Formats: sequence, C-alpha cells, structure tokens
Amino acid sequence: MPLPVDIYAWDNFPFASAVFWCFAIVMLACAFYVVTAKRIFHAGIAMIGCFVCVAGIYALLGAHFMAGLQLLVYVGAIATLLLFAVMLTDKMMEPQRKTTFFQPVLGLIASFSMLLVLWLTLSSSNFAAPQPAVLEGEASAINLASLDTANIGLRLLSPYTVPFELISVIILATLIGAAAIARKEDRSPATAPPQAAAAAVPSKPQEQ
Amino acid sequence: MEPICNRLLTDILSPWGITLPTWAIVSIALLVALIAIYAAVSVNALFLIWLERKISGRIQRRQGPMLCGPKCMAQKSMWLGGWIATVCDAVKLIFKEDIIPSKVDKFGFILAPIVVMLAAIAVYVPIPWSATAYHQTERVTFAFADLNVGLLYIVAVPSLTVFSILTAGWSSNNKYSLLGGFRSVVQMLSYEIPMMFALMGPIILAGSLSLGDIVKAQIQGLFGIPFLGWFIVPSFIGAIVYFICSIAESNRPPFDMPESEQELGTGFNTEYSGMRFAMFYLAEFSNAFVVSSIFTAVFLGGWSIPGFIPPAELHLGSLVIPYFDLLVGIVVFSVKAYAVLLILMWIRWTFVRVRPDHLMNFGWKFLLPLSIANVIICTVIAAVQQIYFGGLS
Amino acid sequence: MSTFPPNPDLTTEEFELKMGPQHPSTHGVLQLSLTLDGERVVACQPNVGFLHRSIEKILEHRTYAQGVPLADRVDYCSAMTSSLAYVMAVEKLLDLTLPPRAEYLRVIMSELNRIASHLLAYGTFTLDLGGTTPFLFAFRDREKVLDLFEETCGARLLYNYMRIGGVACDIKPGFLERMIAFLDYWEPLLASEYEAIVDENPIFYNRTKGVGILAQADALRYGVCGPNLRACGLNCDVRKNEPYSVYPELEFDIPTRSEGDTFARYRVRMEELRQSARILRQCAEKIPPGEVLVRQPQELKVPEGETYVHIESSRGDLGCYLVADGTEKPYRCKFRTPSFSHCSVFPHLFKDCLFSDIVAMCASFDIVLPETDR
Repeated sequence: MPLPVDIYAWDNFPFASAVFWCFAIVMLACAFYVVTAKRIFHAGIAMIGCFVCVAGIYALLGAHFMAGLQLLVYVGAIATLLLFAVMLTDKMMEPQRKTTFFQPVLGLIASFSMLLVLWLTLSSSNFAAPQPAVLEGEASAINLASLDTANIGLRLLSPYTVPFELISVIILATLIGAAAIARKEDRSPATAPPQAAAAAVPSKPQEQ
Repeated sequence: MEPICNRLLTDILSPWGITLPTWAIVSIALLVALIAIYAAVSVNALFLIWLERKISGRIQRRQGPMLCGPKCMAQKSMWLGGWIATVCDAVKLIFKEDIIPSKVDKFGFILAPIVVMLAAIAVYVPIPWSATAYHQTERVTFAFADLNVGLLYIVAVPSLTVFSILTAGWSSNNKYSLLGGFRSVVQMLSYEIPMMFALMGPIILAGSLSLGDIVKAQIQGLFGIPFLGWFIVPSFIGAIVYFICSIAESNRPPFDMPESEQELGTGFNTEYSGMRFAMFYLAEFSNAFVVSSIFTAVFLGGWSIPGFIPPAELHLGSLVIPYFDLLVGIVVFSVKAYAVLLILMWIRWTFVRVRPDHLMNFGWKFLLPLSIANVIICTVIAAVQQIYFGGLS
Repeated sequence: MSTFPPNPDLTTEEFELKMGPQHPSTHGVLQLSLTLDGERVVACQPNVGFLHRSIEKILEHRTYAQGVPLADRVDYCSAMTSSLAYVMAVEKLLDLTLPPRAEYLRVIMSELNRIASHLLAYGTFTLDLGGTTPFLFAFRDREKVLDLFEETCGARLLYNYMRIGGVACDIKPGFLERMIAFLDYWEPLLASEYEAIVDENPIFYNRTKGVGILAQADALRYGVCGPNLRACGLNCDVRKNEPYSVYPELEFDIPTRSEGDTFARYRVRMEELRQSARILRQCAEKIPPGEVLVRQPQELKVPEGETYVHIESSRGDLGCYLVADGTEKPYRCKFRTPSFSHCSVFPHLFKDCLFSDIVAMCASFDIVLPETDR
C-alpha cells in the first residue's frame, strides 16, 4: 500500500520548524508552570497543556498514532483522573499550603538525576539513519519515519508479542492491586452489611 | 483536501501561466480549511439549534420559534418561521454583560469554554465529506485533512471536552457544578470504552483507521454484494452501541447527566452566562452533529449511494459541471448525517433522563460486553471476506 | 425503602448541599438540606417556611366573606378545593343548606380543578425526571381546563368562586357542552399520549419503580393522605369515607395501588384523572336548574362555636378548623394541609438513595409549597 504524501509530516510541511518551536515553547512554559503553580489544580491544567503539545510534536514527526494515543490516554484518561483526584482534595477556599525548604531541594536532586539518566541514554543513541525494519517481506520497506498504525500493530504482534503480553499481565496486576488498596482495610465482618459484601461490582464508580 | 486544492489551484492558475510552490499550496489549503471549519461549525450549530427547537415543537404539538424572521414565510408553514431566532439569541448572548463571579477560579473559569469550543472545532478535521476522481489518479477523499488515524483522533479529541467540563465544574466554585463535573467525567470515561470497541469492528473490516478509507471499504461491498457494504450490516451491534455511546459522549438527553437541569440546575455551566455559556451551548450542538457525521461515515457508507458512483464530470448538453461527484457526495453525506441527527433529536424529546447508576450499569455491564462481541463477529466476517472474496484494502 | 444502601468500600467524605429554595425541582421554595456522600443521599432535612404569608393570621382580621380569596391562596394550584374547605366550615357553623345546583357546581369545579392540578403534578413529575414533552402535553390540556374556569369566574389561577352559601355565579350557557367536549377530546389522550410516552419507557420505569417505597404503616404515622396514601394500598378518600356535598349521589371508584413507590403514586393520579372525568360526566347529566347562592348579609356574624371540616382536595385530606366568637371575623382559622404532612415524610424517605431519586420522589408526592407554609 503506497503511503499518501503527508503534508503534516516533517519534510513536507512548510512551517514545520515554526510549528515545532511553538509547540516546544508552549510545552516548556506549561512544564515550568506545573512545578511553580501555587494551586495544584492549575498545575494539573498546565500538565494537560504540556501533554497536548507533546501530542502535537508527535503529529509533526509523522507519528500520528502516537499523537492520538497521547491525547486519548494522557489527556483523556490519566490527566483527567488526576484532576478528578485533585478536585476531591484541593478545596477551593482553603489557604494554600506552604512548601518546606526540603521539598525544592529534594525535587532538584530528583530532577537532576533524571536529567543525568536521560542525557546518558540520549548521547549514546544514534538518530542519524532510520533503522531497517526487523520484518521480512513488504513490511521491510517501512522505515521509522512512517511509524504508522499498521507497522505498530505488526510489530506488537510478531517480534514483540512476549513483552506485549507481559506488560498486559503487569497492568492487570496493577489494576487488581489498586482495587485491593482502595478497599477500606478497617472493615470487620461484623460491621459490614450483608448487601455490601455481596455487591462485588461497585455500581457507582464515581464514589471511588 | 490538499490534492483537490492543489488540482483546483493549478486549474485556476495555469491559464495565466502561474505555478505555485508546494508550500504556498499547502498554506492556502490550510487557510481555506481553517476558515471553512469555523464557518461550517458556527453556521451549522446555529441552524441546528433552530432545527432542534422546531423538532421539539413538532413533537410537543406546538410550533417552536415563529416570531423572528419574515412574517410572510411564517404564515405559510411552521417550518419557515423564526429561522433567525438563533441568530438573535447569539447576538443577545454576545452583547450580554460578561459576568465572572467573584469567588470563582478565574484561570479555569475562562479557560474551560475556550477549550470546549476548540475541541468542538478540532474534531471536524478528519470527517470525510465526499470524494472526487476529477483530474486525479485515484479517488481522493474530501476532508479537511484525511488523517491516517482519523478514527483515533475523533475519539481522542473529545477528551479535551471532558477535561474542560471538569475544569468548568471545579472552578465555578459551586457544589452543583462540581457534581456536574464529576458526573461528566464518570460518564465519558465509562462510555468511551464501549464506544472504542464498537468502532473497532469497522476498523477491522476496513483495515484502516482513516475515515476516508473506511468509507471506500464500504463502497467495495461485502461478500461481493455492494448493498451489504455499509458497515451497519456486518457490524450492526457495533452501530447500535456506538449510537448510544455517542449520545452519552455528546451529553445529550437522556444521558445529559452533567447538565441535568432539574437536578443540578444545568450542572457544570450553572455559573456561566453570556458568550461563555454560548460557547458551551454551541459546542454541544456541534458535537451532536459530529457524532452523527461519524456514524454516517463509519456505518452508513459516508458519501456513497449503493450501486451508484456519480461521474466526475456531468455533461448537460454543452454545460460541463466539474467536481460533480464531489457535490453529490456532500449532499448525500449531509442527508445521511441529518437523518441520524433527527433520530438523536427524536430521542432527546421523547425520553426521560437516565439515573447515574443505571447509566453506569448500562455502560459497563451491557454495552461493553456487547461491543466486545461485535469485535469478534466483525473479525469473523473480515476473515471470511479475506479468504473467500479476496483481500480487503 | 432503602434503594441505595451504603457501601463501606466506597464511602467518602460527606458534604452538605442546600437544595433550594431557588432550585428548579423543589416545586417552589422548599429547601432540602441534604447530606451527600458522592451522589448518595445520607440524610435530608426539609426546611419549610420560605413562602409563609400568615394567611391564617390575616384571616382573623378579615370578615368571613373577605376570607374566601385568602383561602384560595392556601393552595394556588387547586384554589377551588382550598376555598371550598373554608366556606364549608363557615356554612357548617351557620348551619346552612345549599341549593342543589350550587352543590353540583362546587363538585364540578372541584373535579375540574383536580384535573388541572393532577395535570400539573404529572407535568412537573415528568419534567423533573428530565422529559420536557409530557410536561407540555399536560400544560396544553391544563390550559383548556383553565379556559373553562376563566369563562365562569374570570380568573385562571385564583378563582374566588366559592361563596358562603353557594358559588359566586352560575355557569355560562353552553359550559356543560364545552366541558363534555373537552372530556371527549382529552380522555383518549390520557392513554394515547400521556401514558404512552412514559409508561412503557424502560428508563422511566427504572427510575420510578421500587424507588421511594413508603410502607403503609409509615404513611399513616406521618399523616400522609390523598393519592399518596392510596398508592400505599389504603382505600381512603374523604369523598367516600365522609361524603360531603353531592358525592354520595355520584358513582366513582377510588383507585389504589399496593406498591407505595413513586410509580404507584404516579399511576394513582392517572387513574384519578379518569375518575374525575367520570364524575364530571355524571354531574353534567344530573345538575338541576335553580339558584346557586343563598345570599348572606354584608356583615355576616357567625354564631359562637368551633368546627372542623375536611374535604378531599387534589393533594389529599385538606382540613379547615374554624373557631367563631360571634363577631363578623373568625377567632381562629387553621388549615390542615396535606403537603405539610407530605414534606414531613422526606427525612424518613430521602436517605440511602441517589440525588436523582430525590427529585423524582419529591415530585411524585406532588407537594405545593404555598400549602405547606400558608
């Protein structure tokens, strides 16, 4: 299947660098606001801005599937759930808590060690040439620049089946673990009403 | 869009001997698309509000808005009356005082309606209105941008709506708004999942995430029969599930939990007035149109008429109409989309509101298993088609 | 009763929500002080009194005839019946016998008012559940009933039609024909429009069936009356139990249901609409010609004494306790209003349910706040 010429991909898009810088600057500004915002809710909103910009950069690089997933998973699910949790804890009219001296210090240490790890990884990587695909046949024509949906699907199901399934199992375990932790532990069988014990599926997830 | 735009610009400019560089063509295409989307969204939403009021009037044995507009037309038929009522409403809302209550969180309060409107407009981008073969090597989809992950994009962008409704609910500093925001998140998160599974069937059948390719796959037909091609036939369950989920996704009654004016006093937008309220309102109607367009494109064969492909050029004696297939496609697509929308409106004015816990039960315990069953059915059908009737696209 | 029991796994922080007095679903100016846990209602405390106009106190400073328009305002959704209770109390102290035509007109107006009031109840009930269309069906036909009132007494909401000793004026020629024409038009619509649009709808069914079940014993304990009590399975209607006016001469049934839930209360009202139509048809046949008012002196002095009269208003057992001291003004006048009793059930009924159920249950009781507060 010939890939259609994609004007939104890096090489064909006329203002690609301008748009990239727009996304990059907005992203960095949002990221900066995430760590400096006084109100945790604002930080959450800025983080969503950050995610959207990352999605934009993905789209610019031609990784449309990744861009879509970034929006769907990070903005639609993770960030929204995060905001949801923030809304339940962050009372609007309450005065803001002051940060202690140690928090910025710890934060700096954590972020610099993260930066170090990233730097080491990035400096040892080679971005120069697209690597030939590991697949045989017609799929070998697919290069990294056209990292599209079909390619991702083929890779997930042929060379990376085992890691893919393993990750699924880990996520399942995480889900079960989260459900187990979310249960109130101080509940003794004597005080629990029988209906509640029988109702295994919570019919009202909004109360979680 | 850009091959058509390219062709069109070349056709227009070549007699003068002008050739434009690629970047200019792309820029013009983008600009045209941007203006077209804005114009289409706002005009269409205004028209939809009028239509909704007329339909509700018809269902409720009354006439709907009759006074704004030419009197002579209103006297002829109720369907001709009051057609500028929405424009008057919009003008009124624009000129209303912009109230920001003193104790709201200004940042979120101002941001929320903007993001809602943004998401409502952005989601129009990959909708395939039509296709044309005029002066093209192959049939080209006419969409603002026929993204190759169009379907994913279309379910991803409404996430921004959830986020902004949540923001609106929280920053309004009102308990009803907050409850509305909670409800909206719960509803959208749980209905997004069956919706995506319902759309999985057509994706498997078409073998593509691009909406244009999905429509083209429907034109090819199923098992060699063109009339079976519309994905509502092989993926019937998916169509029903998607339809229900799309009502929930666009926050329309009977799934208008976040608003539910009788319980929460219009929920998340209680504190909004004037233009900010109008943005929520317009976005709601534009989302309703978007979901019916997606339904049309994914399940009802988009711009196609079964067994009939309009010619690229229509010759009426000496008159030649270029882009004839494009025009026919747009008309057919609009007719189908509006038909779906009429069903949405019919449901809205007939049903009472669902209770939140029933909504959850229905979504998780009924729609989700059904949509997964649909994926299995569609896989089997796609496999049969692949093996016995030759490859899919 | 408990439709949504607490789940210890899911309980979170409780918060207070003052629902009302400005809220679209509290039917006027009721305030429900709710304790919510997420969407689950933990406790409910109704606060009444936002519409208190001290009607009972004002009555003590007005002559008996001046009291009629005030009594209208006790229940402005069913003004005919609320003023009927007042004038019947005065007549009982005066020991008056009314001309039969006046009695028939009172019954006709009461039943027409019951239709108007039940249509309002049906409309607001479905509206609170989120359906706009049934609401407009009900209001379209309620207008036709109000037209009948308007041609008789000139008013559409507060009629001032009942008089001590009869009614203010006779009906216009052709009124009965117009009334029968309305019934002929409207009665088939009950099944084809009103019930068709909600009864078979699974959403409506799920939201009302088994929601807000009120046990018969509890209902009696809280003084619940009228259609709400009959929905609990008790065949109790003042028109049958202690017949007044010409009700003994008329044939009608008292619809009851045994479930005691929101759906039962809605169904009982729909059946009562049919019975009211049946009563009206009989009245149109049986109404005799003659006088409609026994004229009373301008300065009517009521002999000393006290009395209690209760009638079946649209909302239930409406009582009027009247103490006269021999002057032209009542010494004390007290209304026993059904809506007040119904409001008192709320703390008992509105717990362990969902926030959305509050709206449905509140509307199914058909409370009218002016009647609660007076």
